[in-house]
Amino acid sequence: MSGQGPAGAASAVCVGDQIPVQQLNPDEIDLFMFSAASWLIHRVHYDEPFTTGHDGHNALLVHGPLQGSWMMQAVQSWLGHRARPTAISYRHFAPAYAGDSLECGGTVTSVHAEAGTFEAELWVRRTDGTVTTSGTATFELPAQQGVERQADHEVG
Amino acid sequence: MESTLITDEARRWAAEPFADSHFAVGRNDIRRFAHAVGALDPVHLDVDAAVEAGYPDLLAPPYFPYVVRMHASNLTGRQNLLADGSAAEDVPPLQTRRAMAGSTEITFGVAVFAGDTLTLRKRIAEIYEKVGRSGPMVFVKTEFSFTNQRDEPVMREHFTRIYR
Repeated sequence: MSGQGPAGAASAVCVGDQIPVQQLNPDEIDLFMFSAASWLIHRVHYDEPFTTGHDGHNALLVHGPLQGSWMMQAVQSWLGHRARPTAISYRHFAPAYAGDSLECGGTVTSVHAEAGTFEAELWVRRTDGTVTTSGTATFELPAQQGVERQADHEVG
Repeated sequence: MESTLITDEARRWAAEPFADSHFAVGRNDIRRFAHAVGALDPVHLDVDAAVEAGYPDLLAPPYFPYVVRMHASNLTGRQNLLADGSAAEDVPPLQTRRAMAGSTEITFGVAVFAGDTLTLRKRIAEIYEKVGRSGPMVFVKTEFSFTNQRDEPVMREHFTRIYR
């Protein structure tokens, strides 16, 4: 865990870097917290008989937007809060259920030094390998945090 | 392609404008969302840490505007919620009611801090039909545009839900 977070992310972000994998074991409490924080009232996140009966699911559903947030958070847990996404797009491929063992991670796919940005593929998957959500994102970094900007060379 | 699921009523629903909504971002709104998504850096939770980091107040995690768009639909009278808990205004009048999350495309602008007031402009960008392996499906793409009190763009999201 050395060299992570806002103070320690001095080494450059490189193509092929693996975003450290976050282990996630969402249960009813996690689903409640996300529903409550966003005032989301849909039954499929708290009413198990409804979700398994009416909607034919295995268990309560993990919110899609929570999985999207996990993907952005995986990058910020790695590089700190100053590594901000400028864009993200993702799709849901399979349901993620309360009680599933999930993991979230990704790979840096390109680095644009002059713009101070990088792109990454991000995913949430079950530990059996089934991808539930995946997509791509662009993040920007302050110059001192790794992706050197052209302007800094001109000034310096 | 001749549409089989999208009725004139559904097209009228899609053309109906949504009122703009406003949301004053409180510190506890940010703290609740931060804990819910596991954003545990103190800049999201502790005002002194946020100021120390050079921010005016608590920094919201990137996808915080989601909170604003859910409140815009769901912070409403009980009579405006359907049996499954969805806000009635968000559900198109279609014969098919099985909904699936589809895709999300987001671009971000300036960061959000406690004390900001966000304005949400919402519209149905597109409603269209495709035939998949399991039969016809309706795609409803909603656009959410968020600005802050200085009219700076904060986030724009295209969210597509699939009904079949």
